[in-house]
Amino acid sequence: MIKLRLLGLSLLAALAFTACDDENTVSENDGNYEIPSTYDFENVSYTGQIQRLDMLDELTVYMKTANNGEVLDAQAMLDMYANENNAFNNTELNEADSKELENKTVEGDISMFQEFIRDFAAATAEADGGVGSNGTPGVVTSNDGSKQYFFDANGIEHIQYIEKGLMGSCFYFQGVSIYLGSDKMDVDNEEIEEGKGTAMEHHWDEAFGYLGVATDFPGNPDGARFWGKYSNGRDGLLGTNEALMNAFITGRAAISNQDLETRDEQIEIIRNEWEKVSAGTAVHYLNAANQAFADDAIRNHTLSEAWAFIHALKYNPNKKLSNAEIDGVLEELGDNFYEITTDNINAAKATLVEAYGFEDFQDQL
Amino acid sequence: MRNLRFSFFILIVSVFFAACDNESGSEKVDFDRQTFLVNMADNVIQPSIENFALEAEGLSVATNSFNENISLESLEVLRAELKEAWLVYQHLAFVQVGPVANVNLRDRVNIFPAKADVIEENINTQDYVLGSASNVAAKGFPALDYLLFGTGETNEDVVAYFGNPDLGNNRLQYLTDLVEDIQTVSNIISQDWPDYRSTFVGNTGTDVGSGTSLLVNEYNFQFDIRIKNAKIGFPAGGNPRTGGVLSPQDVEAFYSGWSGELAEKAVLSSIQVFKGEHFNANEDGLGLDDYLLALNAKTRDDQDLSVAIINQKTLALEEMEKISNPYSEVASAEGSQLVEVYNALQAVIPLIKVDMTSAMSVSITFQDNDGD
Repeated sequence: MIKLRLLGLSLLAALAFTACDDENTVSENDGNYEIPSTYDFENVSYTGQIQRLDMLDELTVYMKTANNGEVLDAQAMLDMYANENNAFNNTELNEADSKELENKTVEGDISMFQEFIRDFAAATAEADGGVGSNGTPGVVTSNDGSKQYFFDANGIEHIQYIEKGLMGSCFYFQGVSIYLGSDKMDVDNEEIEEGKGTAMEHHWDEAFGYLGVATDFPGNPDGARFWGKYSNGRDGLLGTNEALMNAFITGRAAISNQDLETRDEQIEIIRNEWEKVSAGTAVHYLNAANQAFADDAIRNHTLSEAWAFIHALKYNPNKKLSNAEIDGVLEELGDNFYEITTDNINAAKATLVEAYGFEDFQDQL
Repeated sequence: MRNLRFSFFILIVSVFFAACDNESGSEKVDFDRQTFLVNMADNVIQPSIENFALEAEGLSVATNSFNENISLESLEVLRAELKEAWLVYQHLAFVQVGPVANVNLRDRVNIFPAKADVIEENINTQDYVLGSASNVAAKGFPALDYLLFGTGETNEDVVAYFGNPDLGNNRLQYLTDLVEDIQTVSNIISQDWPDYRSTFVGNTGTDVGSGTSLLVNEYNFQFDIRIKNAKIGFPAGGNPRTGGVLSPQDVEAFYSGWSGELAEKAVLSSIQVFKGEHFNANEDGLGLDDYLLALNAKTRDDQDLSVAIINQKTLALEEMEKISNPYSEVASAEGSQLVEVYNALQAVIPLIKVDMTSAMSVSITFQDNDGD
């Protein structure tokens, strides 16, 4: 009888320990959990992100009709930006009421984008299908006749300011600043909602959603769009594909295993690598503008691209340049791409190359 | 024998539950949550409420004197009373539970920046309901800050603002109405507290609605949203949400320049409340720190969580003490000292919002899940 009691007691003690010693469980898992090779986890959902990528896709398709001389409707674009008045052909997007690009844009930039949209529409109306040149909005064809773009009177291609601009002020900002930031990471990681995971897991998945890649990227590059596409574009020199993907996968596994130290390391990696994509792409376009300096269409187009990827650099908590410095680089580009000088382009490039350590391959980007 | 085995089984199961069902607040921890709640109620919250009522009364008296005799002297007295009341508020804002929550103290008396245009319009039209949503930024301490500091370049100008033959009376009336609103709030809170107290100390669990859960949630909200973000991170561009955009005009107490003193008082209060320190007395009661110690809660790098929280807050306070200029001046440059303060405050958040709540099995109910 006494023996039996003793046995019972020790059993109790053992149970109490195994059941409650959280610390043990954590250290057991620490560095000792499985990290899958693709973004393949339970309870993953980021439909809202995919919908926003779809929205920008559709807005861009509409904007690009200006390259064929179409006059654009400002309200139609503003509606797509704010997801109002059933603006999209894809009805699923119209029905996703709460999802919009506008309210996920850096607050201080919303009016800037609205202004871009209005200016863009006004310029297309003024051009009314005509040919553009310095001082005149309109469609400009590249020297080889293969490309044509719509520019305003100053050679600015609004499509790039808006599409690539929103990649920065919305997708990138949400991905690296908001969803990997304290407000979204210092949250519950215990309670699992079916299909969505814990709050922390869910927020991590949402950050991943803004990257715009398949779960088995980069092995499978299909469907890579927006940031995924640009990461892929410079991957040969920057190696961001693997780095970003590994960090997202490792971080997600770490969260599911309560290993927040590893999570934080991955946040740093993602912020730095994603920033590299933007800075590297900007330098790439500045190089392209230099190469095509005498081609109004290509030069203005690539400078407009560069402007947006430089502007995006503001929205990373780990940014290598301050906002004032980034504004300084944008000022180098000036406000008229027909009148920009090679010195301007090189000065902008030099600042970026130095800040991001691209010296060894700055001309290959 | 069979019975005995069965009862062992029951025993095992019940121990299993007792040890782990944090939800019901019956985990095996040597901590008396009732005593903790009683300390918070009687030695922290109630005296804070009383003090706030006292300061509101002082503010009211000074307003009456100013009304009767508009002068540089009466203005100085009134300003001093405003500062006292505003400082005391910083403590009470941490314990927005029960009647303090019912009047929604923070939103009722301290929405900043004040909207000067709305205030002036209210004064001109004389047609306003202070309780309406459109007036949240036209009342409370920030509106008084505007009236007593922002309405003139010099002290004489401010006195002249109220002595104006056309609008002076309207302005005095608005001032009086604002102060009365604060006093009304403080009276409601003091009157309703005794009734609520028993509810507060009686609900000793940790589930949503319990005294502990309310305290922990409000504590986090005040620290994270209203101090770290509103007082520091948004104006100084330190919070990533701003994209680094500066808004120095959005600091607390923009016109008087008391931003630094108020923010320091707020962080100091957060330490006092955390420790369960008796209000205005050097006695350390049973607080959140003791609870964490009893739970043997550790940080990710295995330090005592309660020690880490106090240390990190003290560090933030030290960063704040290095700043002597008003925050509006400091925040007008990118990467200012306020960003250091923000980062120091930010480092507290995972400790109190994740580690502490997890250790106590309290759910944070205010987090914005607007994500998707």
